[in-house]
Amino acid sequence: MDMISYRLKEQELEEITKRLQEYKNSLLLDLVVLMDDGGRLVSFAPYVDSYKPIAQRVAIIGAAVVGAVDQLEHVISSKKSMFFSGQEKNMYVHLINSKFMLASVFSHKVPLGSVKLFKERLSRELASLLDSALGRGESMLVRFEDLAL
Amino acid sequence: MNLRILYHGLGMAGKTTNLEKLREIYSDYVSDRIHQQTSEGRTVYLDILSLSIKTKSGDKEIGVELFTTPGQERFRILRKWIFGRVDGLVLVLDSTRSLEENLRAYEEVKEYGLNGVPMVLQLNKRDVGKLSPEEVRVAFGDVPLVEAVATAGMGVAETFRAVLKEALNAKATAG
Repeated sequence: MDMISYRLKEQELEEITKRLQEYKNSLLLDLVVLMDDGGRLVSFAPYVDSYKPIAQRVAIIGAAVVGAVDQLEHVISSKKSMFFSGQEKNMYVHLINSKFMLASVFSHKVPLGSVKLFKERLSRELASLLDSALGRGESMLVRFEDLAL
Repeated sequence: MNLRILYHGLGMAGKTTNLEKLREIYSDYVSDRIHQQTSEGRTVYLDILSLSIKTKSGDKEIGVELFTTPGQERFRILRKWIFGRVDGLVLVLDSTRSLEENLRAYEEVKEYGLNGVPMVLQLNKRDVGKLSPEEVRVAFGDVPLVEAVATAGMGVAETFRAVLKEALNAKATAG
């Protein structure tokens, strides 16, 4: 069963979103997505509704690619990050801990070295917030009869 | 709340067809559709339909992600992540193939430790196949079974609703 093994309080989620926004602004990134290893979107920046669909897509595909690369571990040893170079934009995905990962989408004008440097500090900040959420089970339950389906 | 429902079965059993039909049936609920396929239209890795469903009161929303597994044997290595996080399972059985062949797909379910996951059987291709619901019931006991012709949309929504109900009931029981 896919029992979600963490739950973030509203205050923690707000704090995480604020840190993602600061990280995004400091490097002029296009999009920052925090997701779990199952591809669930935790938060993203810029935190506006119009970005949510693409953030969700980045979350699923990012986690799936990381999951697939697991099968190559005997070739590359344990993975830590992945870099995708597109024609116009790049994406850098790195693992914060065993459960969460961060994807940064940015133009070629932003040096990869800066992204690597800044994400280290952000990772440390996020890890302490995310660690406290681990072990708290999911609270919301919905009955099938309650769905507008 | 976020649910992941997996459609698994032999290659060409109709897994992707189920997702395509659900996309049409529940078009108002679709939040994304991702399908990574070969030039022949065969699923390689990701075949996902994301739905956002509100409660009748409108105060809650659940996300439901429907995944299929790549049917071809050579893509088996990519299945670990897909099989890894599942709340509900639809085993799509192909009526045109023998029970023994279909059971091979179920063996994989057991291999990945999903035999405790809420499951619904869909007996697909009822318009052309010979495998009967009775034969399937003998093999699977009281697991919910839906007869379908997925290409015509028959039984597709019923299967989805059945597995969603099973998954939510299981969550409620566990919670």
